[in-house]
Amino acid sequence: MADTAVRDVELTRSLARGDEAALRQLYERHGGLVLALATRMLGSREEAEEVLHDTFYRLWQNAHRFDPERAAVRTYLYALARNLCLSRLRARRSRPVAADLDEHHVAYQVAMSADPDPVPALMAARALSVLDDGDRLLVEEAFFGGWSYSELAARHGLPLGTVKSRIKRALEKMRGALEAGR
Amino acid sequence: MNEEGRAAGRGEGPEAANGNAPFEGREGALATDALVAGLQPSELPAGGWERLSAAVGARRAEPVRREAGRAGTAAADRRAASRPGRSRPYVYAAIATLALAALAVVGTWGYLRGAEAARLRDDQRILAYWMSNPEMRLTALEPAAGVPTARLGVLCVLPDGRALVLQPSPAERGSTYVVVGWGAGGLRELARGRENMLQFDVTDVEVVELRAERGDDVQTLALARLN
Repeated sequence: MADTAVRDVELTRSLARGDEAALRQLYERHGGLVLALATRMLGSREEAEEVLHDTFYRLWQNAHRFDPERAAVRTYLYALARNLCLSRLRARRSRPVAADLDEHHVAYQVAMSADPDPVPALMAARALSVLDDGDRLLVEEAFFGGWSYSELAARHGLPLGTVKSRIKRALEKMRGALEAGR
Repeated sequence: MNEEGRAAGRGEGPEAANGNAPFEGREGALATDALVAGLQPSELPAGGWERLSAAVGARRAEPVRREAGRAGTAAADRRAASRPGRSRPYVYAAIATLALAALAVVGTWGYLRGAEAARLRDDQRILAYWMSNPEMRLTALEPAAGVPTARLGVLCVLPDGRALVLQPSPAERGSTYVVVGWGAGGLRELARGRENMLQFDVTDVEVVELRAERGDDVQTLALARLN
């Protein structure tokens, strides 16, 4: 039985040795979600494709320094893509308007991809289902919109401390739900 | 690796630099995985891989190209000069053969993609049904001795006894997943198949055991206790 996580570690090691075929496999396996993340954050398919390209190009550049024992390569890719999106959002000095996000928003669902491991999507849906609507909105705006604590506080008319504690509590609940299923 | 890369390696966002980082640390990394895994994957752009491949190839070839420039060109010129002439009919036949072969490959690929897409849609419908049931209980499969935990999935159970095992991937070529149940009535087989999603009934079952069977060789992969 070949498992996604185990194969990712092997591919990452091959990548560090300059194996372009390993890069292609990682691109085909994780590119769809990296692109979905970037599209969700930027509200623009064209810009999201540039972020997809830059994310994997940077993975290639930095592969020899990446330690697959320390972090999963998919987490690295998501964080890298998110950082690239946040830089673009900062440069724009604006976030996608609600209509843009609605157009690209995909309701959380059990999604099947070219790598049909259903477990991560199932666990994701499970983790998000433990949050109440208000906390979930704060987490999603912080993650996908890149809003800071203080921006979220102003946006929702909440004290800064309340925003911080609600997001912290929400992430702890998600962690609890994910680790209970592991 | 620059700070951005290091932060990404830790599963952190750029907010880490100013201490305003909800998505840093272990919890942040788990949340990042969960939030992204919940999105529907986008279709990769046409030609996207080719552009990436060209970019990494150009980067890798840069120093080599400068050194090899003149010698490579001269060798190519020599090969071109020594190549025997080919008759037109031979060239046309070769092109036609290649075109037919390409058509056959594309046709077969299209058929297989269609079948795979249909299977994924079915799986998605099954999972959506299970996920929509608020009474569904999710239990982690506990690895049997010597089995890496990363290889295991989950067991979903409904109050009426219906159950579903989800594995990260189908069984390896030549082997089959077998689910057996232990209970008051002893041991009984609940399901078998190569798919990574197996449904069965766990009425009167106390322990579910997942096995991989390859001919006479049977390996216990995982267990889950129901109560």
